Amino acid sequence: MSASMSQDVVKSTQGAALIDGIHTDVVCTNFSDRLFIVITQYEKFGTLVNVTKDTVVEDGMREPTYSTSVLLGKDKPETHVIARNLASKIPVTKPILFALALKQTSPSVLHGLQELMVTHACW
Amino acid sequence: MTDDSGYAAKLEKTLQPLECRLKMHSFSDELAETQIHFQVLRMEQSFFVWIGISPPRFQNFAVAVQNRFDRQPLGSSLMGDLTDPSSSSLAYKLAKKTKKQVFVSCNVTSEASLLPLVEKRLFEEMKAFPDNF
Repeated sequence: MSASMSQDVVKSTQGAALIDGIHTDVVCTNFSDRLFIVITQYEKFGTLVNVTKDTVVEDGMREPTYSTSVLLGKDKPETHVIARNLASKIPVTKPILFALALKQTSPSVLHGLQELMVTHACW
Repeated sequence: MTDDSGYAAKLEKTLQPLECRLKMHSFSDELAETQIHFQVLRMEQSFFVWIGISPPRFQNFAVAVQNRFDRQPLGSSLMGDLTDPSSSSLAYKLAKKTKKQVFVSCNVTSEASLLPLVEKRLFEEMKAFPDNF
């Protein structure tokens, strides 16, 4: 068969876990120009946040900086913090689009989200 | 969690894997001599459709939702070229048809003649597998 199939062309992973007792789903899709990561406790997209790693001379000394923008949903400070924090765990330079629908945003929840996301990494 | 010991205990705990409640449905078809790929993510009262070629790009993003006060859905382009209406018009049609919130990323804009075929193919799939949308 010469025709390529969708699941071979678009690399995607998904999973779920209880984080602080809340069922949390994750779907990670690796597009050629962007990562798309859904982390949801409502079975919906919720807030969409685009994160880009700022291009600076990488000398290994400085922490990378990120630009975040909310495309849809409540533009709350913690949304930017969470998206930035999750992006810092992803060693890619392409933009990342997050869909975040969270019931809680405590530090322990955020740590759980990081672990869940990295466990189901598709990058 | 403000207590330090409790926080540390949480960090050590590894997560128990569960079944993901979002359903991914993929299909491909050759339309006008181009291999077109579709990916549908079904969620609670909403779904996301990605349409593209290989290599898979994610350039456009639009949303549309049908509300009970209006006969026409409300749509918005979230990302990408705002002068390219392919994602938003498709989201609009899907929202009207399904009464759900619909997210669309349509990345096959190089040929305008392809879009009606893509739309037709997508609607066929919806008819054949309604549970995936």
